[in-house]
Amino acid sequence: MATSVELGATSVTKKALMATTGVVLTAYVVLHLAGNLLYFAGPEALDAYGALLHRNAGVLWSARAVLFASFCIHVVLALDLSMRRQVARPISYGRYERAASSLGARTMLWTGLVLLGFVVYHVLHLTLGLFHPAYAPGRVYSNVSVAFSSVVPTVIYVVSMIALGLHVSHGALAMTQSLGLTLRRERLRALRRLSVALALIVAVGLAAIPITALALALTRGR
Amino acid sequence: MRIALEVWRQRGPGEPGRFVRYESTQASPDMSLLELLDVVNEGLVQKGEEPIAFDSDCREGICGTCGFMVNGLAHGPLQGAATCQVYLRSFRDGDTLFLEPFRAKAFPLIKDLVINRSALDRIIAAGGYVSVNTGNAPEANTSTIRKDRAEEAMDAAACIACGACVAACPNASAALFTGAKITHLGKLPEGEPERARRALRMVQAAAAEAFGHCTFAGECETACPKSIPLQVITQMNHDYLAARLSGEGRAQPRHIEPGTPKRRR
Amino acid sequence: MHLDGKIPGGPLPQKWERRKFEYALVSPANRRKYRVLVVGSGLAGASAAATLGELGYRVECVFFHDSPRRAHSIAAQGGINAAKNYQNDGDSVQRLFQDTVKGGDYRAREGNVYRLAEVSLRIIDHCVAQGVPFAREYGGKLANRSFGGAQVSRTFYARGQTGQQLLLGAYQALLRQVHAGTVRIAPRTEMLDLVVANGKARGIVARDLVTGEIRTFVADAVVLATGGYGNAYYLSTYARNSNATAIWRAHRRGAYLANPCFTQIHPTCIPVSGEHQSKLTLMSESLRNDGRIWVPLRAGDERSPEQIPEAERDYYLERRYPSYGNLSPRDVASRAAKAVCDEGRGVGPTRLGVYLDFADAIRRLGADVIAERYGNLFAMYAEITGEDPYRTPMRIYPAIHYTMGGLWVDYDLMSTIDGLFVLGEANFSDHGANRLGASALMQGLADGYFIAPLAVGSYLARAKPPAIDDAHPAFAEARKDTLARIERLLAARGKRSASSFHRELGKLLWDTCGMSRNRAGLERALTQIPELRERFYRDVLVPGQGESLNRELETAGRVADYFELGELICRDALQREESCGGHFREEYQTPDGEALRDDEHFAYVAAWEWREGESPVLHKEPLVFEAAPPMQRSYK
Repeated sequence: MATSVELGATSVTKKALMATTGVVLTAYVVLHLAGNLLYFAGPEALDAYGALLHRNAGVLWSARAVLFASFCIHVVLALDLSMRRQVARPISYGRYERAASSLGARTMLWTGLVLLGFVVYHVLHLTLGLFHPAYAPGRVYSNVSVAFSSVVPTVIYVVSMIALGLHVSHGALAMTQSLGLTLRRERLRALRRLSVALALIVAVGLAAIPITALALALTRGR
Repeated sequence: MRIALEVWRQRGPGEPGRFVRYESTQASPDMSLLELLDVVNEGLVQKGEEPIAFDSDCREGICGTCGFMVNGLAHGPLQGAATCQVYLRSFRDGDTLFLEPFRAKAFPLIKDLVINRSALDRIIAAGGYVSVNTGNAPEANTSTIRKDRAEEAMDAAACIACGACVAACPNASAALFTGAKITHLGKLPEGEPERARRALRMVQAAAAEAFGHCTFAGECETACPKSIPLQVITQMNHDYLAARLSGEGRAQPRHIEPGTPKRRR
Repeated sequence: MHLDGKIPGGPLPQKWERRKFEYALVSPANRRKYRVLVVGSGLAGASAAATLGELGYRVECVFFHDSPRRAHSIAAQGGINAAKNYQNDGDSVQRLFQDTVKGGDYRAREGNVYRLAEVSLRIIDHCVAQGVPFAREYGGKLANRSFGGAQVSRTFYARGQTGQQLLLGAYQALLRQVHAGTVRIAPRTEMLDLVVANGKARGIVARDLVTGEIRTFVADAVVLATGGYGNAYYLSTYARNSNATAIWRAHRRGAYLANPCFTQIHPTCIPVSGEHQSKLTLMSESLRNDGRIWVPLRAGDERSPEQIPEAERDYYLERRYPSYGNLSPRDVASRAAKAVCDEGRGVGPTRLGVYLDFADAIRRLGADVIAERYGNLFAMYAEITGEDPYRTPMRIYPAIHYTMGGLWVDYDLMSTIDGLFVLGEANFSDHGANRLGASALMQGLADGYFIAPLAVGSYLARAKPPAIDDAHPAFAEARKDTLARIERLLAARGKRSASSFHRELGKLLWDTCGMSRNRAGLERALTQIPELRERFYRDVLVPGQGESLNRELETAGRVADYFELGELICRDALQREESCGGHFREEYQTPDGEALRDDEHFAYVAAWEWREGESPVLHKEPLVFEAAPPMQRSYK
């Protein structure tokens, strides 16, 4: 009956790949957050951290390659799967209520698209220094402070971090399921809370930096 | 009480459909929603019009025949209830109810609220069983099953194949249905030998029927009239991925083409 | 015609062994040359189709549901009996046999019943092997509960969904064969006639319920597993679409219909609430394990149940039948409920109800244990009535639930038409005048898994039915008849829906041939039913056409057959001038109101032969009791 189907094509496999890349990306976000929090330790600490990352080009570029690949796979599969929604339900409902989905689950595609845009902007902005009034390679702290001294980039970053939080709140939970990991009901409940906690930490932590930078710039300007 | 119905009417698969309004003053709170449809139909028949086609059989929530969307929710507003178990006391006097068929590519519409769900049968046919012929069985009490495992198997086995999980899923996925059978049989020692093969074949069959993917939003669990837990999907993913990674469930007898020369490895 | 039950000779315990050896065999390579048609996909049909497929026959399974898993076996709640004696409480094949014959009020064949008890052991083995999740003890072994009409615990169960789980086992086995290519299924296809060619059943005429196409199916043997006919009564616990058309059409083509008046009224159903009610809901008999049945002592007591003190309650089953108490058999419990309601002591808004009270059990065992045992039943009750049975007693009332009567079959499950086998509730064979709880599932599976596959094979090996196709005139004729019947219904263009006639017929049957019957009532029914039938054909309105999905047409066809069947039910009840099991004639009762059987004159199977344009002819198959000599059936 169904044996002719290509093995690799099932959505379970695709979701497992999305989950695996999701794990990589989430781990990266957490590490990135940990590093970035050095912002609050002052310019020396942050710049030293920046220098540390650049010490070994091999490691740096390998990490970037893994990240980039994960990111691309994640995005491509997400778009592929969400386009299949149309295929699976070609005629949509006149009325349709979502009774159970969390906000994160409902907005997964949209927060994902926001993050896609944000990542491109973020790399151009703070890694390559485009749209940046005074970018100086290696001077991380000052680059950050200058970048967020105006309102527009700060707002973009904060909105994106809210999107990130929502995305992680559902993603962190769903990826364990896609990988077939939590099999007990009680653990699922705990995991749901953990995902929300992780999402909050990541979003608040990462948004705190541009907000603080803006606040400092505004108070200094006054 | 007064209930208005906005019912999806469509004569056949290729034809256009639309919501048609029916007002009924004969409703009473102790009447089931399907009984209200019976009354509306009785009225339509008397007027010589075609009654609303809908499926139902046991009318006690176990056969899985009935099912449509009520105000955008599969089987209506109550958890753990099929459409036939929805009584009008769940609604308020003067309410309007939108009745619409379950929609999915894999569930082609037949007429009005009637759909074809044989795709679910084909998923079961692909592997949702224990391959044991009549006559093969040993004494029943030779196998010992831990009570909690037996209970978990039963939780999953309660599925009535109504299709509400598919209908409620934003992606029209049949993961809860497929996972339920994989979990039911996989938890039992009798189902263990075929566990990997079953997962591979059923997941592939579901994909072939054009069901969508699972995003773990949880709509299916809430819509399920038997409240089958979401974990069955995790179990399905687990069994499927384990089978894919281990290569189990696909073993073929070793075959060497006659006439193949001996060769160093 | 002499009715030969073809019971094998020898002592009871060896009969089935002996018959299995007598059966002729078809060699594995030849089996695929035979086509077997199975109508119905419930426990009996699905298990038979699956097993015949496993054996290698070419099987076609036709059913009117959209999936084989929806057949009404799915709704059986309580359990399935088997003489495993896992509880070490003195059970044995012999005892299950005795209980069943006694429970059936000595109106069943000993040979059949003994075989059923014997096969029950293997059913449980097979179902466990299929992965049926039966309830387990903490030690991991199978659990049992007790059921009405037995003093041992021999009922296996899967929560309150035993029928569902057993059917899913059979359904999965069936679909496995579909996948293997030995069985083909035809969903949403309803049998409308049987084709008999050269004296043998050779196929059916069926309507594709989606396209309206009239199709013919050709086969070498036909197996009917189409369930009971209780829906003739309109309000029953049957599914909405359960119907008698398949067996009635087979009857009209020459299959005798046996004991149609043996209908079972189940004591624990949710009472009727209103005019528009479409069906009655059964609450499993297992509830009677822990629930106590009572009514107020005083007629017309308006107080709520909690306000009625213990001393003013009448636990009438415990009082009248101290040894079985609340677990008295179904017919006894139903009649007792009717008796107290007739005395004006019924409860609830319609006064047609009795209490089923769990307060004692909850006190004794705790609400958790009760919830574990009956949670889903309690939830179902709460949903339907809006009342919480943990707090206030349930109200229950008897309702039509099962029909022991059905097409007459011999020991090999073959009807009076060669090559037509009848399985499960559709036949009359094993339950006599009353079926014990948890025995229907047992019989359906015994017939389907273990008996029919051998019997059908033997028939094919011996009869070697010649090749035939649907060009044979018998097919053309059956097809023409079917089309004419459909045309007649569509052409009436009257003013009333078929179900309004159905409701009227059902009420008449319930009033005259329900829980108790008498000559005057039955005679009234026999004059009124033909009148009603005439009005039906004049005044029925079936909108739409035959060439598409048309539910009204389906209903009208089924109702049309209920008139003739209803008449036969009453005729059978009238001729049986005794009370036994589900058949209670008011004229024949003991001074204290118990059924009065007449073994001297009525120890026979009443098998009716259809005669076109004449009254049906009664044939009697005498019943002989050697191992279980008839005694007054006392549960006191």
